[in-house]
Amino acid sequence: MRIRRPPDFVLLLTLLLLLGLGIVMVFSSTLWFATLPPFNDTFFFLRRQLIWALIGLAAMFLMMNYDYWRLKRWAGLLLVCGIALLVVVLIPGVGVSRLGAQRWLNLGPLSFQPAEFVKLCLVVFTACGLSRQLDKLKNFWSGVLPYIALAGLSAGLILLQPDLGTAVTVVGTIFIMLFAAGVQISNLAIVGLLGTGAIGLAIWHEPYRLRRFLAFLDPEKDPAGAGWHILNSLMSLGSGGLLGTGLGQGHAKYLWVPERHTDFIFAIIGEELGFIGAAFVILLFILFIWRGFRVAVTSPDSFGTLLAAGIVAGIAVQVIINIGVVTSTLPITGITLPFISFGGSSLVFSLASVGILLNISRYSVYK
Amino acid sequence: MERRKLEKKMRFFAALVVGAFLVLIVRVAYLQLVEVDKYRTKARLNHQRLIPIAAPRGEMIDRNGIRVVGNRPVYTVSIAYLGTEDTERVVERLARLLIGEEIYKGKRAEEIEGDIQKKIQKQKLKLYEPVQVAVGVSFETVARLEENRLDLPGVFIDIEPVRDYPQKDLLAQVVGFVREIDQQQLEKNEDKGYQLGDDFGQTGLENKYQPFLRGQRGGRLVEVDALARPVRYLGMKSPVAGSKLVLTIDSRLQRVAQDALSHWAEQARKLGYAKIPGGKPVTGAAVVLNVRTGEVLAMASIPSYDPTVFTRELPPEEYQKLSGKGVFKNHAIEEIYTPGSTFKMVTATALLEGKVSEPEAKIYCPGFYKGKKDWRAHGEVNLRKALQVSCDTFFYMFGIRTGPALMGKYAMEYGLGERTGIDLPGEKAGQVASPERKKEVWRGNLWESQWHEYDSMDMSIGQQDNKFTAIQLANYAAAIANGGRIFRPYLIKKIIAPGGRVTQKFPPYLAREANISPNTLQIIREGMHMAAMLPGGTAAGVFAGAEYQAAAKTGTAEVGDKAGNANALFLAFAPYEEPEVAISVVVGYGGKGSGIAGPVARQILDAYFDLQNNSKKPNDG
Repeated sequence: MRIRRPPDFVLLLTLLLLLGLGIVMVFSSTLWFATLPPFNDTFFFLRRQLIWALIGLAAMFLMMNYDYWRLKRWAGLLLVCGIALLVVVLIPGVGVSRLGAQRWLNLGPLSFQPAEFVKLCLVVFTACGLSRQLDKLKNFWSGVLPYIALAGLSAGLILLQPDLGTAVTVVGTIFIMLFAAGVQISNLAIVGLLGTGAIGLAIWHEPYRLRRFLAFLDPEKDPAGAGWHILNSLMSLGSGGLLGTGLGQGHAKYLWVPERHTDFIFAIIGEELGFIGAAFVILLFILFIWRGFRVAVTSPDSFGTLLAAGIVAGIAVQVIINIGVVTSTLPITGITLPFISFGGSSLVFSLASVGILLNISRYSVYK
Repeated sequence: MERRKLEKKMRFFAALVVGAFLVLIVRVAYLQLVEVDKYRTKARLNHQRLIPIAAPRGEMIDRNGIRVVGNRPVYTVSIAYLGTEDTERVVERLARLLIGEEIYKGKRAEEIEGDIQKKIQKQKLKLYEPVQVAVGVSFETVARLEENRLDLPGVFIDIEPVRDYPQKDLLAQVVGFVREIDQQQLEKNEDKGYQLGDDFGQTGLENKYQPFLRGQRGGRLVEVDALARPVRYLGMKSPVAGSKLVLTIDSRLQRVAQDALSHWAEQARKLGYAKIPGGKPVTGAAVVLNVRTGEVLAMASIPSYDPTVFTRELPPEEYQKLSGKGVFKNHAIEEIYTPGSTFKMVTATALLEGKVSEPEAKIYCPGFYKGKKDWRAHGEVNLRKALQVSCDTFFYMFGIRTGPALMGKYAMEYGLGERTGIDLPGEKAGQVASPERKKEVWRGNLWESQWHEYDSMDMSIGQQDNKFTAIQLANYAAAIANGGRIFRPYLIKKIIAPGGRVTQKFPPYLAREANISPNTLQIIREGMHMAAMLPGGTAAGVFAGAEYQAAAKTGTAEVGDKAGNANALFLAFAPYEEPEVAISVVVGYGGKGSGIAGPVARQILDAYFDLQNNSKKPNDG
């Protein structure tokens, strides 16, 4: 029997803290950049981030009150739409290119990133499908392969944009879900090896990815070129020390760190708020993820469990990649820090997925 | 449903994720807590720029406080290197905005672009120091650059002092010029804090007094963005100006000397006295000394130029062209000239001091002696008259009897053939004729390596191998005038620190007293006085109508070339009774001592006494 209760407030509070901190840091990191042409407006990014946050929060509250099992009905349709959009965005002239990647669709004044949408659809669809046939999962061909194929197809289309970071996140998330659902490790390992090979090929194939990868191994080799991201990211993060330079007082924002308000915002946090600030952000994410898994575990049905696990896993993978890249623990690949980085679609869909998570938490069964 | 299994897996995942996060925390802690100093240092080096502020060099003023060398502020444009692509784009834009600027006159945008690129190339080793691409940029251009500031990342506009020469070519060679320090100078002065790009005095006083003239560089510490645009101002160290030099020169007298010298050198060419092939300029010098102190009141050298050329961009070809003309050479100290008859006071001194003859002894001059022609038959001649009319026969006759050793000895007594020690770099010592020197020059020639009677005759009238600088000749005239005191000529009276405190004072320096009796000097002064003032004196025409009493000696010295050129020389001092100033004028290939060099000296002396009278007038009431 399902009883609706209030959502997990710890989860909600953690999220709001991360979101608030993100808005402040987006403003700080664009203080200089925003004053330059073509923006010429100190509040350019702050204003947009606030609007996106409001839209995202609205989506979150909507989803928080939309019972999650009803999503099953839409799962297939939404995924088909999402994959169709991934194809559409690749059509020259339809998709919008920025910084050499064709990732956006123009919707009047706003632009929309189909990959973020697909990520969520895929999680919903996979959770839905797996929960229906938990007993069939021993069969690789009928129980596992379809999901891997779908994830592979989406990731492949995303790679064409190109957006390696999101592709890796999508594949990683679906893997975790499959594993959680009980797919045999041996099966997953084979697919995993194949996937790693594919990523390796993707790196090898694109010269810029190879350059970035090599720069990760030895950034000093080309400090003004491929090593620039890493060196400057480490420089600003490292120079933060324990207490940081103080909010707004960092150097990195003066264009030293590229993508300072999106993919590399964690470097700015580390520089301006010090180790205390950086560790606080990581702890908030740990708290968020712990509460998320708790939601998964206490969900009344396996659909809820798998859905919550997928949502949390997606965010966890993204955070780990992002901070891993900023700290030069992982090779450079562009991906935003959920709830904190500047960005429209990623923020809205992240918040919408948290809405689903909160909705699941409302039906928790405690032992 | 395998609820429990699912939960177990979830916990496993949660642990895995938390583990990954802990790894990240450890990594962040390592970067921020352990390596913090390394990254802070790196960040500071990367984000902060010390933009040097050049210190103005010390000024130079003349003895009356008139500025000879100053500084004026000019706009400079520099560009920081931002990586090849960005820099190329910025340089392209910058080049378009600099069209029409003085230093890029008549150049198209692409040519200017090339010039700027070349300058950047030169500084490839120190990429983070901005490269200066234009000095002395007009205000209009600065305004245009400011308007386009955001499209010109890495471009700095600064104000810098550059040398200013309010009196143009005045005293150009004495002052010398300033250029960027070269590699050799940098190595030599390594311990004195010089940097590439610093100004360094290359010649003249700028070089000699470099340590005083040089100021202390200041700097502005700014934080820049990744495109080297300044974003935050962190502090400043003010530059300290260099010390001011007070010269012994009277710039008004200097102007007269310089103008007269170049005017009469031009006359020599026009009148055909100077037969110089290939459009080469006539060289020469005029020196005015205070006979009581050794102060240099004027020192002119031709050909001359305006050192302002060094405050702009001076391409190597143009530098070579100017250098080839000899405009950088100070002909008063760096060139030696055959003295001709101006040497006769040495011969006279030698024969009197060596007791070769009585002062009143007379000879008869038929216009030639032992196969050498005099320039005229002078009839009965004694020593004074020989100086008055510049009778060669007299000196031939006594020159043989005096001999090279005595003549050489007294030339040296007057300081000829040795550096005066003036406070300028590059002074030449000159040379006194002697049998030893001749032997050296003619080594291997059995006859010519010997000293013969005719050599003594030649030497007695200032030919043979005698060659002196104009400053030596002036000091020699001064010694005759002041009773045999050899001063060390000097150009700087005092050095004043930026605050106004006098840090150094240079009093007259008596190098030594010539071992010559006052009587001898008196006879020589009389002879020179007669030459200047009595009818028939070789310099009488020069001083016709003068309101003062001068003493002088002309010289027309054959240089021994095929064209038959002769140097024009003139030595003088005045007033005769109480000498104040001594003058030497040399015009290389000038042809006529009295006709070319003489008028220069006359104009200088006229100006000197004019200035004396004018400066006294206000006191008189």
